[in-house]
Amino acid sequence: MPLAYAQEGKLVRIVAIRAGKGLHRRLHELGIIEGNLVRVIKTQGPGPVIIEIVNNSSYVSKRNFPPYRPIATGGRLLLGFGVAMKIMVEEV
Amino acid sequence: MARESRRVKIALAGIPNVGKSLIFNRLTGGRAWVGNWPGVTVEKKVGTLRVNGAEIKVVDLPGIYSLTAYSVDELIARNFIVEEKPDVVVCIVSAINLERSLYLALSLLELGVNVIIDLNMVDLAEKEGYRIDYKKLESLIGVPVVPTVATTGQGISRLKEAIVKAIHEKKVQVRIVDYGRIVEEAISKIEEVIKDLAPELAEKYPARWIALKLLEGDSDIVGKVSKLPAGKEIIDKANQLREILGKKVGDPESYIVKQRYERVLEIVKAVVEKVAALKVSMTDLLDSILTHKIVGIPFALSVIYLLFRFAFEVSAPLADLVDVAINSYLHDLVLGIHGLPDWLTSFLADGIIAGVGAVLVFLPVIAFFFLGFAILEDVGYMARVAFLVDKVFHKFNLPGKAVIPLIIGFGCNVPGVMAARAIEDENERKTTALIAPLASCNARLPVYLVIGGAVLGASAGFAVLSLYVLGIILALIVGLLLRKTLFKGVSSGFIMELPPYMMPRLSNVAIKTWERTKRFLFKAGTVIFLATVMVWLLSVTGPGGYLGPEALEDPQLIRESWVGILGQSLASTVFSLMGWDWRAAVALFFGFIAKEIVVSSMAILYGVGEEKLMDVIAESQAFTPLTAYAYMAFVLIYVPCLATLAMVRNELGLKYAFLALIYEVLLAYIVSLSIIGVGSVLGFK
Repeated sequence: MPLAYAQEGKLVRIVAIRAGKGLHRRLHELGIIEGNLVRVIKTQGPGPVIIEIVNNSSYVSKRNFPPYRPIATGGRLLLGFGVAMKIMVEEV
Repeated sequence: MARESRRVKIALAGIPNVGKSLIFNRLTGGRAWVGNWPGVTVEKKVGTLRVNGAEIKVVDLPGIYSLTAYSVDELIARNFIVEEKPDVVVCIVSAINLERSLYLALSLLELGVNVIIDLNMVDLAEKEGYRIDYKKLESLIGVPVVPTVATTGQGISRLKEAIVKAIHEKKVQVRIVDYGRIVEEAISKIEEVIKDLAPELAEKYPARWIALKLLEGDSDIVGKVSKLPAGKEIIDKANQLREILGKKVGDPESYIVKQRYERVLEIVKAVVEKVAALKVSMTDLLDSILTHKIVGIPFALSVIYLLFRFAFEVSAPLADLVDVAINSYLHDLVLGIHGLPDWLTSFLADGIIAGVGAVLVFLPVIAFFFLGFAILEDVGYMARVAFLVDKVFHKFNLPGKAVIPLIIGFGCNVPGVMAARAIEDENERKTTALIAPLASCNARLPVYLVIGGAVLGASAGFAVLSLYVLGIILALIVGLLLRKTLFKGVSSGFIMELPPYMMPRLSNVAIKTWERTKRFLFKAGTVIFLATVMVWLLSVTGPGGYLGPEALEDPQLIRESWVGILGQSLASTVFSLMGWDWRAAVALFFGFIAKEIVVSSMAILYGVGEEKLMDVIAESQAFTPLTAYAYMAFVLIYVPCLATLAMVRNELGLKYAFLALIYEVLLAYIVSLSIIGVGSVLGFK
């Protein structure tokens, strides 16, 4: 399901990003990477979302670190409706 | 020139919202040369850092996340670093957004830059219950780290010392990220080829960086390399390795970015210490209301309404004072001077002084509007408004961010058009710059108030409010049309950093308020001033020659002037369907230059002072309620002022300034005519 449809407060895993090269890379650089867990802080579902990147699962599994939580509220991102439709997620 | 190039220079880099402009001001004392980067409308700021008797040039790079070839801002930063070789790049890292900030820092290090890290906002991190071990960070990435709090100036003197020190001790860390055996092997192979075949390239950039960029398929670097004599060979080798890599790890570009990110997280994990349990943050609490699905938008509307009230109420005494000082005191003072020829007295009093007055009377309300706006922005509320409107704006193919230039436009359209710069996607940016003038600016309000007050009576308030709404609706519709025709294409995506709510920082608010007010004062101001002088000139002369200043007092005489003749011909031709009288038509003609002039030229044409204008219009029955409302709508829609058009030309080019001019005039005509048509059918008069 697209991130735009995810429910408020839910934890979701990013499964795919269906975007052009430029946006794909931009999202990666912001920490929105396939496999990562993301918390949906606010949504106008379906619509734009405010998210928080909770941990980097590939990182956790590979190097056996405990789940990592980003520093409080500093790293939140607002993704417009259009972008939120391009990020596919599943509930965890 | 040679001397200039020997001068030590440093650059400031950082992701958005790290307090970069504050650091710039702290280092340079706020004095800066502001212009554009060559060939693009991205702002460039250059200042001077004076420390220990040395003068260091400080260049502010655009706010960026990385150094790719996908965004103009990033290319600018990258090219500046490569071409101009700054002695030091200060990378400002936000302590409350460490991951993304460090990603940029690592990208800079890989480019072989002499970096020092300014770890800013350490106070906020501590408030959130975290501390960052900056000594450890320093040892992990191998370059100096200086913690600062830009808002209070804490750590700035140490930052200055670190800069001076770094100028003499260059530290390079191109190998900061280990990409794993498979990628590292490919990198070394390309590095070898580059060093063999293109040593000149390896002098300009670190060979490792070129190798990485070729593996990532960076369009700019691929283009630059292929232009070299040995370019084809290098590219072929890189593509061959890219293919092999692709089979092993998937898309090489994604893989490399992910690896770099993992390195970032490794560092973050090592340097962040939790010192207190996380409380329910103020930000979460506020956001549960302010970005609420149902309550959010009505609340935002109230906030904008309060912003207007604040601007008008607080500025009113000041505006009155300016009005009295200039339009009465100074005006009378000039009239009282004996021995000057009549025409000169009138030129000074009714031309020059009236011109200055037309600008300065608006200054307080615009300044207070931008002050209120800057506070809302600095607190972090404006980003939330973008979130709230995004769903609606999305239907019109515009990003939620486009709401910000429109709101700024309520103050003055000139900085409004300019604010569209913040939108990354080119098509969306152009569209937003073209629709921003439809936001009803402060200068249009007096026209609504005078005409609405004179003709519409009790429903004037509602009529004025409806015009503000009409402006936004038209902006969205025109936006959609532009996005479907001239600026086609799916949105490249609207992403915005959402900072926590913060107390407004005085220096930040002051800078932003001044920057926008300045645009009104100098850009709009000069045009309005010149225009007012021109109105005077065309009013006291006519085909019959010089009429004398009496024309301004005598409604019969002014009919003979250029202004009078123009108005009568406009009223009997183009505007004949609207039923506006010739004076209203002339006022529109001059209003083309600036809306401030509509009221003042009407006052001249009716031969009264502005304070009595409302009564005279009411008595003259020049307008019916219907034609008055159509007139107000026309004032809203057609070209806001010459200065706004100049700004559109500045941002998008002459072609688009003409487009703005034509669409606005046509739209104004169509809407006004529709109001009259529909209104008469419905039985309004």
